[in-house]
Amino acid sequence: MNTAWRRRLRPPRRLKATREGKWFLALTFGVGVAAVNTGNNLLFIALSANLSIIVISGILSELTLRGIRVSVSQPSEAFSGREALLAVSCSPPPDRRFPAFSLDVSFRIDGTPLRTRMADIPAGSESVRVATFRAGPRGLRVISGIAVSTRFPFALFEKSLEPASPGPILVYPAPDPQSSEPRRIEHGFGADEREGGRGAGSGVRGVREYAPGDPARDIQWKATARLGRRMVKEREGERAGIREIRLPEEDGGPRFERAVSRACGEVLGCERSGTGYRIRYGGVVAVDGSGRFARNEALRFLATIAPPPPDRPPAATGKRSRTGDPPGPPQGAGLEASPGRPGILWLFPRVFWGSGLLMLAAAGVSPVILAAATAAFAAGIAMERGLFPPIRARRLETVFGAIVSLAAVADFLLAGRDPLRSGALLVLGIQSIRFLLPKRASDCWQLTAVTFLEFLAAAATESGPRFALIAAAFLLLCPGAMWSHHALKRAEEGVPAAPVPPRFAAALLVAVAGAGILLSALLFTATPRLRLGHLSRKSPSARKTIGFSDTLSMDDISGAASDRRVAARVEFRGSGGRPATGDAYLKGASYSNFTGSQWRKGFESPTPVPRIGTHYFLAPEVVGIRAPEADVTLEPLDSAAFFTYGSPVSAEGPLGDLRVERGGNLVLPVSDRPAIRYRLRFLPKAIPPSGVFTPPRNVDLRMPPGDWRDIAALAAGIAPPGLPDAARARKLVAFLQSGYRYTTSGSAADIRDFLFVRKAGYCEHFATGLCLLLRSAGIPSRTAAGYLGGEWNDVGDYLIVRQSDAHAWAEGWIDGRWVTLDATPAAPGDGAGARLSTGKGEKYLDWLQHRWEQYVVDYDLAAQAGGIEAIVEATRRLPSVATLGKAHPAGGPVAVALFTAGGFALFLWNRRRATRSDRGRSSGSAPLPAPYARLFETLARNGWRESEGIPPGEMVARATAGKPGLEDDASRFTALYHRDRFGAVPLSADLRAEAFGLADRLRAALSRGAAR
Amino acid sequence: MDNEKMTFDDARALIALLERNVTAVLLGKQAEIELTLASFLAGGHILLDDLPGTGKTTLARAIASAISGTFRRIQFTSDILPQDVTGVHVFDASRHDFTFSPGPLFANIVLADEINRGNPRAQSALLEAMSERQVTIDNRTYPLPDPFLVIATQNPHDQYGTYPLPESQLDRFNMRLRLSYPDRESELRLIRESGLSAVRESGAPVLDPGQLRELRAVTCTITVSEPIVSYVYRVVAATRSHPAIRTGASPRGAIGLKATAQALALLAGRDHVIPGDIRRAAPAVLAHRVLAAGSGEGGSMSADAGEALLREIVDTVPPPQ
Repeated sequence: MNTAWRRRLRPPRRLKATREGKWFLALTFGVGVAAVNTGNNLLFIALSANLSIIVISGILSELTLRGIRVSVSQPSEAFSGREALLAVSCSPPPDRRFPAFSLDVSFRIDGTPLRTRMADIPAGSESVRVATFRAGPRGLRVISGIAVSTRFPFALFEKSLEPASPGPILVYPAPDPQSSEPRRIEHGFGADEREGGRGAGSGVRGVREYAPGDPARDIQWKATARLGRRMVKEREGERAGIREIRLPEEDGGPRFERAVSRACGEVLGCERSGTGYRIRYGGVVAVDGSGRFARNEALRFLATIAPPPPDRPPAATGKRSRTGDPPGPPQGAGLEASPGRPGILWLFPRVFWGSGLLMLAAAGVSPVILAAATAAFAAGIAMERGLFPPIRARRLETVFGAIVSLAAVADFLLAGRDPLRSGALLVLGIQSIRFLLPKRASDCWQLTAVTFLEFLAAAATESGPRFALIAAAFLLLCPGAMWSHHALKRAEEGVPAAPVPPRFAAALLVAVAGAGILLSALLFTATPRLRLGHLSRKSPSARKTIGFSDTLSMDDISGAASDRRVAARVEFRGSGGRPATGDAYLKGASYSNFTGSQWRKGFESPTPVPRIGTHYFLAPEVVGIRAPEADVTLEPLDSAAFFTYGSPVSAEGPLGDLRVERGGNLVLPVSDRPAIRYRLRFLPKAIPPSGVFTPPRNVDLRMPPGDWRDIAALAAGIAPPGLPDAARARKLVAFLQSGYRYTTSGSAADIRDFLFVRKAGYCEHFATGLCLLLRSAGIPSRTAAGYLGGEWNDVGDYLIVRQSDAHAWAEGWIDGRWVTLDATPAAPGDGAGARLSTGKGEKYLDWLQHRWEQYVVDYDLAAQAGGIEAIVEATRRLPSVATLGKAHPAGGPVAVALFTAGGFALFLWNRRRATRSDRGRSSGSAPLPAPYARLFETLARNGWRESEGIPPGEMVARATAGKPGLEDDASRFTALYHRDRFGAVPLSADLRAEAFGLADRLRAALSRGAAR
Repeated sequence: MDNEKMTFDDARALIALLERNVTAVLLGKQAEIELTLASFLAGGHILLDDLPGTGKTTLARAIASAISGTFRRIQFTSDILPQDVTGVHVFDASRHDFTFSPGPLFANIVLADEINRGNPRAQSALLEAMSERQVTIDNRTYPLPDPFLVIATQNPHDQYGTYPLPESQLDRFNMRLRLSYPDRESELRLIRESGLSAVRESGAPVLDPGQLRELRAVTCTITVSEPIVSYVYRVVAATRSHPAIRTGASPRGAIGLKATAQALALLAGRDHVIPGDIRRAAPAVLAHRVLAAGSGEGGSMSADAGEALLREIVDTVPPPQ
């Protein structure tokens, strides 16, 4: 009971990191630290990918270890102090479909550790290895500490399980060489004498049939010729006495051991010479050496009689016994890549390394260095494939390494001191050397590590959705490479890996990649975003965008008309999508101070916006009105302008110390900001009561220095002073919209030129003109800059605002509000850049980019908390069992019924499994190979096995009847299957492979087709 | 071929000829013909059990005519004597001695027509011959020719004035077969092509007795793997533990099942027995050897019930995979 509890409490598996595993863990840890430090989500993805590889390695090793049974038997007799053989056999459960890869069995006999490396075991079979060991003292020796371990698949960890311990082994005493010499027989007291018995005498007693082991000279040729069977002469036993072997009557002690050893030698001697013997111990005959199994009986008796005290160290095991691996191929097979047919495992790492070079090419490493590395890569492969004789001198490695290091140092010192390029030169140089030389497992690991760095480097230069592609490629290729290295290492250790079926390997890798991507996504969302550092998105260089600085000149906007870069993406929430056209003004800044040629913001000292955490209060709430919300994602910009729609109420997001200037402009604390994302609540301009607006100041009425009477006259002419402000403003807007033309080509030199001479210009001219006219008319006004409208992306239902949507307009103070006054006429045919509609594919790409940024790059603790909240909310809404009963009168019984049904289903499933395995045993045949089993399982599932008694062959025939494409395959398969399972001789390997292939093909075809 | 052993391929060729000959005579009875031929190859006697006019005698004649050995027919009636079956010692006046005048039993193939009409004495005379392959008359024993095969027919529905075969005697038959009515197409063809006087003629003999012996030797060499042996055992054991069966099949039944399956495998051109062979042979070979729990003393259950039980059994015993 005690041991049972201990067994139960012990962890079922043991895990130990290998050297490579420690490196991998360190790397993962490093990436994790970097991720937490910088808060960079891309690093979090890399971390998740690494973690998912670790998890998958755990799953695969579990698959390979599950249910393994170990038995240890003695194929030979073991004599104390001599080398003996042990047969260690490993068998996975017969119904398991996953092969067992690279199992090691370790155990201890008398404290002597032994380790056997098993070959790969295909599904449904078993593997036996023979180990030699130096037997310890005589007696029953318990095999302890048995463990099956594997490093499959990536050699990162060594996982082991402890199967049920096999029975003890029996060690016979060391035979004393002197006593086993043939000796004169003592006709001692009480010795029996036998005459005429069978023995090894010289007289011939008769003939009998030949038995294996009879000496050839005993063959009686005449009788053989007569009977047609080999007959041998049977000799008469000599008048042989019975040898008395006496053991002293004492327990233990060296004297007794010597006596046992002598007795053992005598028994062996007697057995060799065919003499009868008896072992006497304590005055009674313990063993009478005349029966058929006398030898075993006697040796067993001698082995187990009064065993030596266990505390005394056995003399025979003074030195540690060594583990013997069976004579396999010579050590280091697979060390030199053999030309010939490389398995698919050979291919995996090469693909990985090659793709690492490709990644570097995409990342923009010097093409010359890269070309050299690629050439080395190709040459290495050519050598491995036997196209060139391989370079054998490993000494060259040092020479080459020195040359490369020197070149890197020289490059750094002499040519530009670019550490990145010199570093690339060094790393790629070392990689090239590895490519060229024959590769051992450790070299391959190094190459893979370098490739890993290359992937990291490529990923570091990428922040868009392409990063995900790199990560996916890594997850697809890296496990294969590590698997291959693991197999190579094992081959170097003397256990040649069986060739892995390419389809299996590919399927496994694809499954690993799929699981890895899923797991990475899961881990990425679940890893806590500790905000130890800033979220910083690298702003790509040359991303200078115009405007929104402290000044706005007349020709700022003109350059933006054809700029298709995205400035912002806006998702409107709650309002059902797109905003009204009047509210599509995304304002960045307003300018009050006009110098005559340009607008200035003025240099007022801004005050911080009141906030709680990341929630900023921009204006008092208006009771009774639901403010629409917009999620605004701004691309990086070299300006501190904060963009809002309408009349902003509040904002939420990582905005730092958002400040407000006296004119009402909102500014961010940094002037060169990265991409930001915030949620804006705003009211359309018309809604809020007048109290919320910052009232105009003097500067909003001030004309620039100079004589502006002509403009004042123009304004008075259009809008007579007697009218209300609103009407006059309308008239002025209408004047500009009707009498003026929008153009970006011939730009007016100054505002007079625009108003009186050319009467054509672009938005800034219109905004400035309107402002001056309004001011001349006594209406406070200012110019605002920002974006108007944008392109609606119906793929993701959000607005894409591009640089080409940049716009300037006027704002006038009318009836206690700032009113947007846009005098720019609609320009058909002009500003075509903005009107160019985006293609569907591009919309998808933009959507991808947007989501990537939203869910990956900008994923932070807040988003995480929001996700958890949503899940909690969702689970709360699910009726739990307890509340179900309360909420609905039938809920309780329904829940109980569901549980019962589930339990019953589980029970049935277990039973079915149990009976299935029983059936496999009862038929007394070899376990059904997996491809057959899978096919039959599929057919049975599809309803072709109406009763238990339908034989598989019949099932196949009926399932394929009337299917012209399948009938031939089916009959061929059935014939092969029957021959394989019930024929006189087993199928040859290639026929068997054909049968397996047919089985798989039929299964694919029949599972595609509907069930019957 | 006379001197050297018959090969598997020779056997296949001969069997194809034989099958063709028999199929040409009896239309639309492929499955039954194959089973009959299988029993024929395995050396087991056959009991054909059905209504008159369904082709029992035709089948027997067709098989008989396929080998060039002797063929005799015994029509059982209630007054038939054992001597009428086995033969009798007659006094040869010229030699002043009794000489043996062999009965119709001394032939390679014997058709025992309406066997259940014969009295038990005559029946047992026949049945002793079937199992011993020899005849003992007046303390003198005469061996029967080899090959020796009895094809008996009986009409189970006409019970008046019949002596149903006891179980012990039924067990001597390797196989009980029922030839029910032919299917529509075959019967149409039968009506079209046959007349009362013009029966369908079977072809020339294709086998001589020596070849048949060799065919039987080849049949014995068909591989029966260990899982199949176990399957045969489990099927037979299931008849013994089935709740609806009082007496299960005998070991002779198990041997017959194996041998018939071997012959079926040979007929299908295989050199090994598969579970399907056992499944096909089991109802025909075992149905008449089991005794239903409900039926009275003596007399086996009706053919229908036996076959249904056997089909149920082979449907529940999982075959080896």
